[in-house]
Amino acid sequence: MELGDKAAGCLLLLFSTTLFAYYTFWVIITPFVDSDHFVHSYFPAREYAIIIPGIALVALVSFVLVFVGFVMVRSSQAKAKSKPKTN
Amino acid sequence: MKQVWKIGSIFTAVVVAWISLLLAKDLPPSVQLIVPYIPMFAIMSLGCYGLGALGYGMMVFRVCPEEEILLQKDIAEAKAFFKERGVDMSAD
Amino acid sequence: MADADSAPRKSPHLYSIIIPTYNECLNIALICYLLFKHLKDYNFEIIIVDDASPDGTQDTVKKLQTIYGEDKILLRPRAAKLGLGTAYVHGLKYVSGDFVIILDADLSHHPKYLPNFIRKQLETDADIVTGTRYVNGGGVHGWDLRRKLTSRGANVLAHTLLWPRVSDLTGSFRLYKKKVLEEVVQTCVSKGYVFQMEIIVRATRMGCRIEEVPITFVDRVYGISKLGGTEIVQYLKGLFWLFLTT
Repeated sequence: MELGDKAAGCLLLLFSTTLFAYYTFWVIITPFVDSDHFVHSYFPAREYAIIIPGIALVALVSFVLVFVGFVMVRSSQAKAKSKPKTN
Repeated sequence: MKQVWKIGSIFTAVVVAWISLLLAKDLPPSVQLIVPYIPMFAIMSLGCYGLGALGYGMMVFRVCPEEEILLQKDIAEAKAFFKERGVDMSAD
Repeated sequence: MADADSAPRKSPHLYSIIIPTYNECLNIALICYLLFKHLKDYNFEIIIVDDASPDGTQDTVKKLQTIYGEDKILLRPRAAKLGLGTAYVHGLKYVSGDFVIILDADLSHHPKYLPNFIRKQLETDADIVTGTRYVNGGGVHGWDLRRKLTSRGANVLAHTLLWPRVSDLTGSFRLYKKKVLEEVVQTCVSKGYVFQMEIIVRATRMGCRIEEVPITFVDRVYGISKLGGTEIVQYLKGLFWLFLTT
């Protein structure tokens, strides 16, 4: 059971390191590389370095706001239900 | 200083530095290509750091299954002590 | 009892242990037994703040008083379930020691670590000694993957926002200098585990010296109180409130 948990953590760490390395190379190293070098074929156009994380960020923030809003509405509904009972 | 002001002032200083880099005229062309991407790079770094810290924390999360056994021993010892003194400890 | 009182003490101070209880009629007896077992070389008193438990916790405490003495076990009950923060304030009124120890009554905090807390405080003259589950020598038992993830995630988030100087922000196994606790608890207004975070963050901002001691945490109530959406949202709200006001 713990081994599974440790493995999950290890996977997450590897994923985030790889993602960071790829993104750093994409944004910071590729401008210094000649435009006909083969390495450019591994990366999409640089505009996507802003668009893709931008969309992901908006999606994440929206999800968090909706989640928080949903929970808050649900708890105020529960309060409204219990109040008439005790009155 | 309140935490929010502390982080706010660091954030403002970084933004000002970034804008001055954007407006600088005599930077090599490759560097000029990088500067506009710095904010998103910072956000990505923060995200990757957070995920990485979470993953690392999960990897080194300390578990102590032996403590449960020790605790059960202590509970048995305590129950025996109280039984001797006539205090009835009903089952957990 | 006589030779326990005349044994040499490892510390000249009196340690007052405040234990808030609600429905802990069995655990409170077990905790008292363990406290007397592990603290026999120290001067201490136990202050039990019970919030009108319906399961007879107070009757058990009275029986314990006949065994251990009313000078060692003080029962200071309240009329209703009024919350943790106010339980400490209430307990503080009856403290005669110069140090205050707080711990949970459900046996997740084991008294065997208290000598480590006391020794650490004497070595470093710390204002607060807090138990941490996340360093070498510490640990948790009874948590599944989801619980570990939320705990770690909450920790990473709190560390990124608040920059505290402790590794375990939500722990409630602590030793305080009495004056420090009195001063800090006046300024705190939140409830539950956010309250525990608030104490340590405000103490950090006030410049208190805080030391840590590894502890193990055996979670036996997890099956009963799951970590749901409401708890997560309450934590986030508390965290952002602390971010803005400390």
